Amino acid sequence: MSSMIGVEFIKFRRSWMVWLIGIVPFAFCTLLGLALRFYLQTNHTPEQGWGLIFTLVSRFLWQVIAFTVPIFTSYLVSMEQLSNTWKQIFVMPLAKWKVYLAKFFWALIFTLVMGILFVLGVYFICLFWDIEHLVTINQLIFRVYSPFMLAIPYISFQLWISMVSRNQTTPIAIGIAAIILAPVFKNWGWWTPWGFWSTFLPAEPTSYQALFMEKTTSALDGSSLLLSVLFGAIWLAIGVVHFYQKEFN
Amino acid sequence: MVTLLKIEWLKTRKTNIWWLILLLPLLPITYGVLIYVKIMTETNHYLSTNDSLTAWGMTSFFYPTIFFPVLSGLLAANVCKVEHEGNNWSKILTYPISWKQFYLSKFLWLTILLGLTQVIAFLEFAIAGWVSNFDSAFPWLIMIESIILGWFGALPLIALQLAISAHWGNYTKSVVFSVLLALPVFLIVGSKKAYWIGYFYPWSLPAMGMTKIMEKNPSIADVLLNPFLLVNIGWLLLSLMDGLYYFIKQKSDH
Repeated sequence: MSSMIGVEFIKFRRSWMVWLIGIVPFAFCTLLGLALRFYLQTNHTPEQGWGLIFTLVSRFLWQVIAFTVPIFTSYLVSMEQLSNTWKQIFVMPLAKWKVYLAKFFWALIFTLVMGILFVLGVYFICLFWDIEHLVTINQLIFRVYSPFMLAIPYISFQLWISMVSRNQTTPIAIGIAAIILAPVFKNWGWWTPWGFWSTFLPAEPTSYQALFMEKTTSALDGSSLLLSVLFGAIWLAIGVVHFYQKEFN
Repeated sequence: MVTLLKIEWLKTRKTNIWWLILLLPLLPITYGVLIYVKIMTETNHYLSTNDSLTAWGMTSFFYPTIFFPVLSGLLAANVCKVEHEGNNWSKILTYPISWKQFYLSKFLWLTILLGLTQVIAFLEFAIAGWVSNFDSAFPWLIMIESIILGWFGALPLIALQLAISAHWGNYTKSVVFSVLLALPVFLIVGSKKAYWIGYFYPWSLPAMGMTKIMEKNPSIADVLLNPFLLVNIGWLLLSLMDGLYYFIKQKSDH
């Protein structure tokens, strides 16, 4: 298994994908920083600025994840598709599930590393504008990192679609559709990859006063994290089974 | 040129782009109409002077800002994918076909596909409104104007995306480029202060055409003198000529 993971790493290590993991958080955090700068310069208190940061994070971060996860999974799969090497891989003494899991591993790592960069980015913005004393690590994990942890079922689902699609138009289109499917499936469709995510995502803060309350109480909910892993495993298993049955041209 | 367009039709007729053209507009339109009917009208008892216009406004949050630019990127990438996969560029360019015409036929084919997308979006919205029993009269003129201006706004974007897709052999790379650059449109078009940035950002031109001009309900003279049209033409010429220049240069070097 470790050799499969190593092989995948060799395939992408010098690609633009590695840069994308850094560029997306950088661009997002730069825009957040600009918004905060404008806000603080227009007679708003640091507390209000702090509220703005987490409101914007709640409103837009999940959409950024919804866009980037399909890109990660499509990229990991497109290398085999473009070079038409699926058949060559299958004639080698390699278990198909190992090929599949290695791709899942890297899609997950890409997403989680991007999450860490987002957390650092948001912290640095707060540090730069002298509002870091308002932010706690609990809150950063709860508001900024948990959307990435809760995206595990979504990653598994997108990887499944990417692995069994002949070209990557369909998985990317489905990924884009997530920005509408997530709110549509919220609560009633919690078991779907989009509904799971939107149902368990931290709600947008109602006010910056509410954030003060949250500073001590908020933490990553263990049960929703476990559910995320469980549903991720279910979608992964479905994907592996489908991948085994799929005929590649 | 007609023969080249027929060839493009043959290349794409059995691909899955037709599903994209049908389904990608349907999703934001259904969502926009549902938000209007279920949340604005039934829950918040919002009273609108024209149901269709307000529902179209709700649809405009997602369709012209995200789905339409992304769809045009996917179409451009698909149109070039056939050539990249079979290494057809070099083969075709050795035939007695004008390179310029070949490139322009791809651009023209994309404009037709996006025009078709807009017509489908219009029909889907009209059907969604009819199913939802909108009371007020359907604003045909404003809707048609909005659809046409959105399509017109997409022309420079298509030219740019075609240039990118023809340049990069990696299909995913060009799609990723288009998808990521569609993200800021949401912020640009939604902001009153940063709206002017949209004129310098081709990804936001379809949304500017479809939303802002529609809101003002202008006369023909207003439309013709609007900076949107002039900027659009400027961007179109720049993107198309640059794209063609780099296409010929790149393929000649191979």
